[in-house]
Amino acid sequence: MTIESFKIEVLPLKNKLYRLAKRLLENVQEAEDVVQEVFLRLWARRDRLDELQSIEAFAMTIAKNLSLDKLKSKGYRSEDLTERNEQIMNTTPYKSLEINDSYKKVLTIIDSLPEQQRLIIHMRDIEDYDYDEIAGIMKLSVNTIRVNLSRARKKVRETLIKTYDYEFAKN
Amino acid sequence: MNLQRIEQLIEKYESGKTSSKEETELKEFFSRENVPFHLRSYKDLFTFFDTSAKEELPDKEFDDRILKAISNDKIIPISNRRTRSIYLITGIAASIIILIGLYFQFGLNQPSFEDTYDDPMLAYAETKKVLLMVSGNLNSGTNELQKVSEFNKGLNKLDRISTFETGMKNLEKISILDKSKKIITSKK
Repeated sequence: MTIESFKIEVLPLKNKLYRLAKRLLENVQEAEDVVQEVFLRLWARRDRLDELQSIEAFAMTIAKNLSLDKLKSKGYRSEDLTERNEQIMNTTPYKSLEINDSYKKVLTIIDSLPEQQRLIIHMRDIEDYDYDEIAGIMKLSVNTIRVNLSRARKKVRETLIKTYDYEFAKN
Repeated sequence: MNLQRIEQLIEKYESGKTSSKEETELKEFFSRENVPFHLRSYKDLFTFFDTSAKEELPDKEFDDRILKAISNDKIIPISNRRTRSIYLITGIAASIIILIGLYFQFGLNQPSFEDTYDDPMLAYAETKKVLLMVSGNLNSGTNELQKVSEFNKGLNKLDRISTFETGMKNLEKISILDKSKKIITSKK
């Protein structure tokens, strides 16, 4: 694979990879580092990329694994939370405070899901992947994907309704 | 779009059974300005998905950085491959040398068995002689082992340690002191 074809065929994956890494790492800089590492690894295997059924699925798998490794190695750091909130304010395309508020509310809930469910709901509802693709990236059966997706969606909606009730009672 | 259909779709959505087409239908419905109050959580949810899908990697120079890194890297893999093959050849050469060394060290010294006797009776006599010699040496070895019995004598002397025990028993009488102490304290 030449640099030119790498630029055209592979590099445009950067935003999808970035979103996946950020979903897990909740940190802009670390997510960018992961994306960079994914591309370097893909380039190192450029001779065999054509043998793959889907470069995208392969790239997403690497991004997922690198992010999970990074999560495991850093453990939980509380300062990430404040850092994350500032980033949300800066990166959300919507400037309206009201939308920003509900965006943040959903974000907090989604990011508090277990890693596996977070990944599955992200790939399905944000990236529009089909069940087979998600199953391939997660190395799980389609049925397991559906079960976890259902759990994640129910959990998010239930928590969301709880926060509405809480706010209503507060006012 | 009728509400009943949307509610059916939501149920399907929550059990993880909606198709991509059905999910698009839901997303379109919830992107409308006004949705029924009891469904507002879904509006927030689908708006979040829509917004999140547009998020982009913030570093604008990212592409350039990657392309620069991989075009520099272009030379590295080749030299990498060369060093890798050097390692491989050195490894093979080293293992061949070791194998040759091992052969000369152990391979040549190994006693080989050659049939040197033509007459079977002569061979039998020689074998018998050798075996007798072996058994003779073995017996002289066992004689040396008899000295082990000296060890037993030493052990018998250790029996005197038991007298220590009788001494200890005598010491138990000291406990009477304890009792008298108790009597004294109780009288206080």
